[in-house]
Amino acid sequence: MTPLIRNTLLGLSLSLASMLAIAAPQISLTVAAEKEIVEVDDKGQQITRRVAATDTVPGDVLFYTIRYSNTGDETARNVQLDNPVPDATAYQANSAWGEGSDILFSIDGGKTFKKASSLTYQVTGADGQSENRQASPEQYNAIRWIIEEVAPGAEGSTGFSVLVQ
Amino acid sequence: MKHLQKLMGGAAFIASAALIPSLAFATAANTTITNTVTVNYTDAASNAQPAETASVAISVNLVASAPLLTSPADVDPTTENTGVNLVYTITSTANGPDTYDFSSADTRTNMDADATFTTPSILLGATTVAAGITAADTVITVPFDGTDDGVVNGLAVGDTIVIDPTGTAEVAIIDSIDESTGAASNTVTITLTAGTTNAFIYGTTIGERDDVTVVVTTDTITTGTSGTHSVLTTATSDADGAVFTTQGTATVITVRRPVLAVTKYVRNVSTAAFNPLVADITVDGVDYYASGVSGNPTDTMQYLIVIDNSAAGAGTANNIVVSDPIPQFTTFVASSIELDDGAGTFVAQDETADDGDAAELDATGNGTVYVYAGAGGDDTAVGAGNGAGGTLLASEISYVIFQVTID
Repeated sequence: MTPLIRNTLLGLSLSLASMLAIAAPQISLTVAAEKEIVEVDDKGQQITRRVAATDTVPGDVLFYTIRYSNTGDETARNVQLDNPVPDATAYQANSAWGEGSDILFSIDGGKTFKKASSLTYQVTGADGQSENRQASPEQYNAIRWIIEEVAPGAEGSTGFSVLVQ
Repeated sequence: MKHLQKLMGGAAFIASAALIPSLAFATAANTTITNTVTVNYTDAASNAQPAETASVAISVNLVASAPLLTSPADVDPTTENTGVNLVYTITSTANGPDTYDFSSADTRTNMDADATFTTPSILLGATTVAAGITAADTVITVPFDGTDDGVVNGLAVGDTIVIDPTGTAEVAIIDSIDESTGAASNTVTITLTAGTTNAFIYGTTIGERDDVTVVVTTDTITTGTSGTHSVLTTATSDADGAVFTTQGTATVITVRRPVLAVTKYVRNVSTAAFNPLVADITVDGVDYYASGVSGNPTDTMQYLIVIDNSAAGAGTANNIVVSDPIPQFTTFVASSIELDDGAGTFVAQDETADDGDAAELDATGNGTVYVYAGAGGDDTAVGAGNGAGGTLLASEISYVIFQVTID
């Protein structure tokens, strides 16, 4: 084998190895916050529209939208988006959304997640007996979206809203 | 506790919505609300991939809230054209620092014009509870305001604060503030000089309390002895001019002025038969007459001057100076002046000028008696007739007597 052929084969081998090494999923994320404002049009009708939120006051509802995309060249699997409910806010009932995802909630700061219908906590009654109670949305302090897979180049979005306390 | 705080916070807010603009529970102004999402995932071979995160931050604005304002007690009496200090205690109920501007209005009675007022302003800090307070806690946690300067949302060391000002209203003093944790945890701590008596939930308002003095300058009385200024003061938010509090009960300032009645009587000391049968006034057991008294040359006559400040509603009379020229064809009797300053007892006066009592004689011409009547009169100022007059409170009467002989 001539040195030229040997070097060419070595170069091809390295390139192939390199291509194999970079084949991977890459999830990119953005999160945006919006709030609703009420305006009056020319006809005196009130129009509600959403605008980007940079500031807020207690009582506002904030709408968070999380956009994800797979910028890699391989399918991403078992994608979990975890989003603690921000401090000084309260999760709004039934506000979490996300196409093609399972939505779970946590009431223990993100240690465990369950579907809303399965979220319970124990209290001790006046008779000293423990009983399970259904967690209310205000108790949710983290949200998880589970997406089975995100193909290369695919994108999607999820979101939820909170009440500023 | 996290889930409990969330629950309580949520419930608390429902209450606050009904109370705005007087906030009971809210997030403090200048708090940064940060939402962070994290994604974990694997590749096709179930190899975990590096997690990615994204965040968005939003700042909380001030919500102006009507402050709590006390009503100072009525003032009675004061005098015309006099400054009266009305001290108001104001307490913030907002979720952050705001300046409050004071303005006052007058409803007057029997005064020539409305009172005038100073218009002070005050900056009051405010924040909210960021972690539930347990009774006896000395250290409380509040949101970071974004600046590590030892002042959190306008609250500084030494400030008086009221926790839950529209509810439990527990008063505390700030001993120290530690903002070193602010950047990392978004919360800072305030240490109080003493532990709290009560427990407070997440989101409870903490407002600064301070005193503000409005100086009310009275006007002049239209007629009679008294008039009133009825004062209502309002504290208005700088952040929102539509948010204000007016004192609940007007402060009535009663302005009084003295209305002295001066009457002079006489009696013949030497020859009682020259006095009328019926006295017009008896003072200290001695009868005096407004008229009808006669006398022979060389007879001694005693004059009585009554200075009366007992008119209904009268105020204090100050700087009372009685001057009485010695009548023509008579001669002043040395050492005959006596003064009852209102206490009910005559005290002999020396007519020598500037000698420290309350009477003096100007010997110019036939002479003039000066008596610094009332309490506290003083003739020590150099010269005759320029001493310091005395004082008669409302309903007090001062008496002066002196004698002359008929030439």
